Amino acid sequence: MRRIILIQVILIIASGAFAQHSSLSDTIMLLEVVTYAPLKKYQAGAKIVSIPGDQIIIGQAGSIDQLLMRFTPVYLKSNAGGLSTIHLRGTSPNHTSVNFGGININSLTLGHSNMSEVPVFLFDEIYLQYGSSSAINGSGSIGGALHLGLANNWTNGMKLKTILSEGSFGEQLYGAKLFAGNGRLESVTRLFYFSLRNDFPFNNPKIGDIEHPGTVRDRQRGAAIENKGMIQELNYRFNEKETLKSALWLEQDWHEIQLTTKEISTSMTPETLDDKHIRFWSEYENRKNPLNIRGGLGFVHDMEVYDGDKKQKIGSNRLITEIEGKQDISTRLGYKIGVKYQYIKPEVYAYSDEIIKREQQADFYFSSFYTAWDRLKLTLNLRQLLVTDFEAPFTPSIGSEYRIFSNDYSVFKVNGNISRSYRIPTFNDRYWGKQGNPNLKPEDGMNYELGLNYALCKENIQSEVKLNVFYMDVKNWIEWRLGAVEWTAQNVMEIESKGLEFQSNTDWTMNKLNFNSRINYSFNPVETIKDESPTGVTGRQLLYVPKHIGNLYLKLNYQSWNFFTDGSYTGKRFADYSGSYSMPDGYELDPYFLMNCGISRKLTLLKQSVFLSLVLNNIFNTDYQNERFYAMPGRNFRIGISTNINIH
Amino acid sequence: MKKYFNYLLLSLFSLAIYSSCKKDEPELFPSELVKGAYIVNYGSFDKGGSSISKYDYEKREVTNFFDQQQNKGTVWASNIQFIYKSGDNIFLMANSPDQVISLDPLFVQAKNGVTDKIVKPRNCVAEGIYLYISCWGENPDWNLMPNSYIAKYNIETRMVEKKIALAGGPEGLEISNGKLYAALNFKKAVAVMDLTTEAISYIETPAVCSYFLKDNSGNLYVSLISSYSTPATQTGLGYITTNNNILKVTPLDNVSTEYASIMAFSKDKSKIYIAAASYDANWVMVGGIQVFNVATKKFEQNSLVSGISGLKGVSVNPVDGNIYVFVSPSTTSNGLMKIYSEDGKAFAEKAVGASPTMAIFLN
Repeated sequence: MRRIILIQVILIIASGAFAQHSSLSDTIMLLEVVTYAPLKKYQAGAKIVSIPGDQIIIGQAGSIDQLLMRFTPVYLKSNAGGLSTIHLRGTSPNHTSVNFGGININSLTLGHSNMSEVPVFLFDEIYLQYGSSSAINGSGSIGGALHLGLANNWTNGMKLKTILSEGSFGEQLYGAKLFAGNGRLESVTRLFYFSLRNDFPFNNPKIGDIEHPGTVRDRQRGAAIENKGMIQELNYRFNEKETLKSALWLEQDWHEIQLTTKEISTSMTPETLDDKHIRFWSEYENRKNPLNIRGGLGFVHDMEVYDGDKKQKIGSNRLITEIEGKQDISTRLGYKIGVKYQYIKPEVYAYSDEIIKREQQADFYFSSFYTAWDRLKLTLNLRQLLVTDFEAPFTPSIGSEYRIFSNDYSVFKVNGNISRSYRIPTFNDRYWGKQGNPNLKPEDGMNYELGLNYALCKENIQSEVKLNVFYMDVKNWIEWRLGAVEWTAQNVMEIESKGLEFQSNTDWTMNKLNFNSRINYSFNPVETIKDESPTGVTGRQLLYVPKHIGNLYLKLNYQSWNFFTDGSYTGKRFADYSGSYSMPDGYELDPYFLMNCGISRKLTLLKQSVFLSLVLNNIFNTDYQNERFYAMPGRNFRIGISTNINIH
Repeated sequence: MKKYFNYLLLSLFSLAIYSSCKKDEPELFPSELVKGAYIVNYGSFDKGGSSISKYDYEKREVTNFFDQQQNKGTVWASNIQFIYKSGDNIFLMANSPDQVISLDPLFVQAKNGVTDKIVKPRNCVAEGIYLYISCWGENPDWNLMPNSYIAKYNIETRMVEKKIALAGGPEGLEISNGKLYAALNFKKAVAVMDLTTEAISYIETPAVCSYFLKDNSGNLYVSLISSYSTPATQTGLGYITTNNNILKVTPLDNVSTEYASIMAFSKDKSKIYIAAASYDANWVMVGGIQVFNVATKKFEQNSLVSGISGLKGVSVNPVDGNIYVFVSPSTTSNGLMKIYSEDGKAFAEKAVGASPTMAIFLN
């Protein structure tokens, strides 16, 4: 058993051993081992994958949407102008929770997060959980969950990391992370500023032009982005087993609502969206007694202003508190039990105070694990949410992991998971003007998952291969439809999502050369199997969900030099079912393949580390649209310099 | 006998001349090609999908994407908000990008749409060589619509000659007694503009307004609706006597807030069909078509049809009086056209394009 754990630890560490910033990545990878375990501990059979440190570094000049699109088999519907939503396993953006500490940062009014507004630079750890996890993560985690993590370094001294990068079309990123501490008290300040003029050229097909049909070379306008943010951590370690950690995340994201390819040649001025967020999470943990105690306190303020019109505010404030007890009765058996309470006050111009002033939510949960014998691990999770004037379903999940065989250099495991999931309708769904529908039922899903996992660890080669199949059924799926008079949110559909995911990660060493390759592929048919409206479409692939998506990543490390290339394929997607004369069954967006590459070098100047990098994106200058009528940039570059300074 | 032979010869000769004349002056828009119902499919705002479906109501055959068929497959970039016929011109009020598109009666588009001084066009009405177009203006304040206006468009030169400021978000337009009536969609009033002096006065209403129907005496019916930004004190159907601009309101709850065509006259103008929701036997609100009796100025107790979700609009075929009801709960899939006889009997249901809103009938 010890040997198997060792192999797994080596595999994970090895995957990051050739990162661009070797000292940093080593740290990150070691920390992954530490922080990854709590997520998996009570979720045997769940598919949770960490984004490796080297890929986080490649993607740190952008937002998390670009990182996920390049390095995971997950589709994000995005334009170039700062709007991006995740569709994990074919589900809607509201079906992926985005967790920071004890907070799900998804907007309570809209139901989801704009992935263009989650800057990679601020985070050390990013985990993606595939498949339903409402029993662990609460409402909304039907398609999966994203975990944004901060590593605790318990700095003794002072360190400064900086990044400066400039790219095509006016892209600028300035970032700094200052670590200061004495090993017990630590302050970490993370700051970033990102702006993008986004005036890229593209081929405009000029739809509807009778007099001059054909494609013309055009230039995007009205797609500028300016994001800035900071995270201030203050952590105190009473002793090895007692800590107090806190993180304040401030974010302001502004962007023009990208003009479509149809609009850029008109005199139209773009509208804007201004988002402000305050997110605070503080957590006390005491592991001195057999019953470990964890208590958290948080606050979230979200506010969105449309086109500078402050009368049209859409926001909310919430207070969150959580307490959890955890005990490992033996190495084979353990449990945790907790409650999370939220007090929510919406601040939306279109809500009536008579209908909604506040809402309270209380989640009660229980999780346990049991290792039946060395080969089999079982987990059970139970969750019940209580909501003001709303009934949420009881949510159980069970998982298992079975080691089929192992020897000195490999492990082969099979795992499975069955989980119920749900989503409470958003505040907009329930309370928006006259159209909110307080009679909505929660969306209700079942997820079945089976996975095979093979790991190989030899002297010069380490490899891990995962193959997962899944089936998900979601009833009472909510869509906004035209009802008797108004457009209202309605429980109208039942959706079936099934598929197969393949992931591999291989490292091998040859003399002084280190290689790493990662392959991801997802096949995901998603269909409406029931639609209660008279014109509902069933038996067709859901809009903006590709059946096929895949990517490949190759990295070569030689002494202080790194070279990488990655390519991603996104299959055909339906943009509508109504189509056109030439596409009567629905408008299909063309598939596309994007390829990027980059080179970096580590230098030592005045005993400090300096990293230079050059990245070329979309090297084949592919002309494509991810969302219909929204142009995307062609070939572009980014040059960056980052430092890692130990002040003393 | 010879006389009869001469008559016959003369008849044949006249027929030959007539036939040759017909050949020299062929009909530009033959009735057999034009005749039909043309359904506007709005599509999904800013996401495309707008088209025209043609319905041959004699053969009961639908041709979807008729506009694209007539224009070598060209797809409109805009969403078609409203369709209007004046002479041999079909005008389309098109949004995102904003433009006024002109077509011939065969739905052939010869030139690109007019975009200059056209921002968020909604509705139109013609008087002589001018088309008056209600426009909401750029980046509107959706509560007050301070920058909305009427565009005075010259049909012959294809240019907007003047923008006449009219705050309040004008929607439906009608002309009567030398005045332009504009239903304000964001202000509880009907604006009345003197076409000669362009002076504007207002008729106060208990709700914001959407569309007009003009009766044979030149008086107007106006739909009164409730919106989130401007809640109504009373919704229903207003009647404006145009010689004194006095408004009388017949109350009706839950009048449709949809756009383009929420009401239509019956063939003989004795009734008005209006889209409005009501409660069914189980007190569930359902969409339907209510019937207004023009003579009694009252709504009939029973709706023409009910239990419809996703009711987008209603139009009446002036040839046979049949009522066309457009249904589309979603904007990304095909909608339905349900056809009823005047006594409310359903006899046809056809799939049309995405989000159908209205029809015009050409001969």
